[in-house]
Amino acid sequence: MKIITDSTADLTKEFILKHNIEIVPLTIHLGDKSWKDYYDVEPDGYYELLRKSSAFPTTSQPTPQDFVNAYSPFVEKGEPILSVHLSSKLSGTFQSALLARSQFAGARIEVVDSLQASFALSMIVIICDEKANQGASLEEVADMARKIGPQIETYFSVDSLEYLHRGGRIGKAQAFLGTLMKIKPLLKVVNGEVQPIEKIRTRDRLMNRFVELVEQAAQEHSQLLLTVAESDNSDVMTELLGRLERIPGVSLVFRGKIGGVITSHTGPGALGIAFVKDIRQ
Amino acid sequence: MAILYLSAKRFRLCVLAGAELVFKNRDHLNKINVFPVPDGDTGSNMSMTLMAVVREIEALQDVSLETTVKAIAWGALMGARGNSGIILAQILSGVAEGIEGKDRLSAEDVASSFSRAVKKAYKAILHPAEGTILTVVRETAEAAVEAAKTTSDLAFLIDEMVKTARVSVERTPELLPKLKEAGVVDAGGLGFLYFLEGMLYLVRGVTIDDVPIDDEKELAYMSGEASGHQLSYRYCTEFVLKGSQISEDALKKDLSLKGDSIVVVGDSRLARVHIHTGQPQEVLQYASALGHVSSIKVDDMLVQHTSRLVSQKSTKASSVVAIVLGDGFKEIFYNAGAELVVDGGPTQNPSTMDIVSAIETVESLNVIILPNHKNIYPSAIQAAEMTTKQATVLKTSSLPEGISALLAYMDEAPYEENVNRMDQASQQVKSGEVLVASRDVTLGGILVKTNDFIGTYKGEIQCSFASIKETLPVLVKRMHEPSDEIITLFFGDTVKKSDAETMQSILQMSFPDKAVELYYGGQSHAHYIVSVE
Repeated sequence: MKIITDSTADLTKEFILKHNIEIVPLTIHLGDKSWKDYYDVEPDGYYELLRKSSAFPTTSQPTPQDFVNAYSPFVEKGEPILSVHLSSKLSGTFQSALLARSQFAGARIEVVDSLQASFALSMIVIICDEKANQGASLEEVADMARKIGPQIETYFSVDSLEYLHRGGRIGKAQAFLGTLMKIKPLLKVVNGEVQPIEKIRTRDRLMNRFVELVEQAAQEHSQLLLTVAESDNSDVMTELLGRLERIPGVSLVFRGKIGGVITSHTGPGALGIAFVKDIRQ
Repeated sequence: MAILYLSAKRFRLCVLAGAELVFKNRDHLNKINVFPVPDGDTGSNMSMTLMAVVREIEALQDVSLETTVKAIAWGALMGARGNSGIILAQILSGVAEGIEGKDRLSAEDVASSFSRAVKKAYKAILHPAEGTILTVVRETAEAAVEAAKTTSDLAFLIDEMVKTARVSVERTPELLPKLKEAGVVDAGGLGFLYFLEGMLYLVRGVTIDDVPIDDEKELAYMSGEASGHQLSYRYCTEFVLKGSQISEDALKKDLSLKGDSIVVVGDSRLARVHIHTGQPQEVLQYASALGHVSSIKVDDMLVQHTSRLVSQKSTKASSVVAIVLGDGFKEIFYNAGAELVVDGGPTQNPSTMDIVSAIETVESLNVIILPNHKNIYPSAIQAAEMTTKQATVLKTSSLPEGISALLAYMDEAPYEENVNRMDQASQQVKSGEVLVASRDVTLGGILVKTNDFIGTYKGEIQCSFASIKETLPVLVKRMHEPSDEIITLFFGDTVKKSDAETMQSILQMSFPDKAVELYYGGQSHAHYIVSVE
């Protein structure tokens, strides 16, 4: 079975090569230039670009043709394909993938809307990969992916809501945008959409809140899988992770960097965590 | 001649005589007011509180003891202003509660109801401090209970109470070093002593049947400010005014000719108005000339307490009412999610009624109140007890604490959760003030000269210098801890923005590893309010 995802899963090159996963990139536009996410620019390089640019970034989804190109070699070999993607509420990527699938009548391709992004999407890909390696069928793995997406709790903070607001990737934010005081908004992914939930003033309290959220979930579920990522905020993430990994029952399955496309919508300085009850046992 | 009972009439006269003596000494009480802050308003606050009592008594047709004590309690609670005013109101309403159902009062009734009232007053204060009016009323109550065991003569009882109160007032500087340093006794305690003395004066000098009820009128107008209050403003009137160019100040000014307890909140297009008036019709006519009037609510406050109905269904889990002073702060509170902001702060205490009205006006049946000053906490607690809604008062004792609490408020969270989260959040910020000293004084061992600047934190003067530039960094140094991240500066209405920006740079240089933020607060009592978190 071949697993295909998109560049917003923010998986590292090492992981992709080791696990034989295919990535279809989205595209970043900054000023009059464009980059294919990860193919043309890695996260660290993009942070640098963003710091130097006065322009505001935009992004675009892969075309259906990009997915046709990605699917073709595996369809020809008769290999089943699991194609799992960025939340359809945040991007047209899933739509493009669906259109591409319709070009391959009779092929075994499951296209899944993860209702997640970045480090939470990577969590799904990692779990699916394990399941596939254990010999599960395409349908079994796809069912699990659809089931686990909504179960993952995804929280992240941004330095300001400006990027999310300008990119139109945020619902119900009026109360937060009107706040005169500088805040570090804490956001949650709910049904595939981004919702601001708390206004936090200091870094210290933000970290405590992340820890509290994981502690509560760990108490409820006893065994938790955790993924984390940050954009241009590595030291803080290291500190936070040190605290999260000490919580009993928590296993870190992936630490990544938020790539160019997602950073274009969160802005630099974002910190994110995703966790879910360990369903592997 | 021994006086074994007080009739309703005579009890009213006692209260009025007590009030009169406080009115007469108002300026003196203002002058000696140094605790908790030397803001010179104790005399005014106690007078205004008693004025409300006098007004309620005067409005009565029926002169039974029952209606009298109810009117006293109601007036005191509605008009209560300031720390000492609130305590006095608590005591009057507590006494009234204790003697409900009687048709005349014995010495024992007075002593026991007074003693119970004092216990209630202690509970109403956020941080009860000894050496204040609280000490005076407590010791007086103890003496009254003792005296009532040996006598049934009310004249003797009140005489004993006055003697004890006087000794207690004289002792306040021993208990409260701030008073000793300033060379004064506690203003609130002294105000209470005047009140008792007024009663004693009446009990001694006048025979019950010789006093015509009309004489009471004079008492109400002893003080200059009282002259405008010949009408009884018994109708609590509220409405929403929609227009195009509503001026809040003009509206307040015009309305002040028609009533009191005026609260106007909103902007040039939409204003919520609250007023106590004798002629609600006139007020509404005036308003409809300015724009579209809706959501009209007129309540007779004399019957309001028992008959208030909460009819509208609410879908909101909770609403936040904040008591705030300064237009910049008001905007910050509205933007951070407060549903209604009531004007009030250290120099301007809102009455309990203002807060009750705000609680009744907001959408949810569950209300969270941010008093943002410890003088306002007791009024807020009383308002929370009086409303038919569920209301919780958080112990926010500064505007930054209020903001911190408000930022933790979540629209969709259950009420209890919001209360807990906000309460916790309010404790995560430290706040101080830089203000100008109005007189020469030595406080906390620090010599302060008139027009020097003082830096206060945790209710104590931390430092004092001739300039703000010297005062502010030293104050922040006292407040900050290494783990703090943000210093927030709110400048007052007399401070120029460019000066405030200079102060921001000075602080940033002194504390290079912290973020220094600057906002316009618009407060009038302090040049700067500063918070560290």
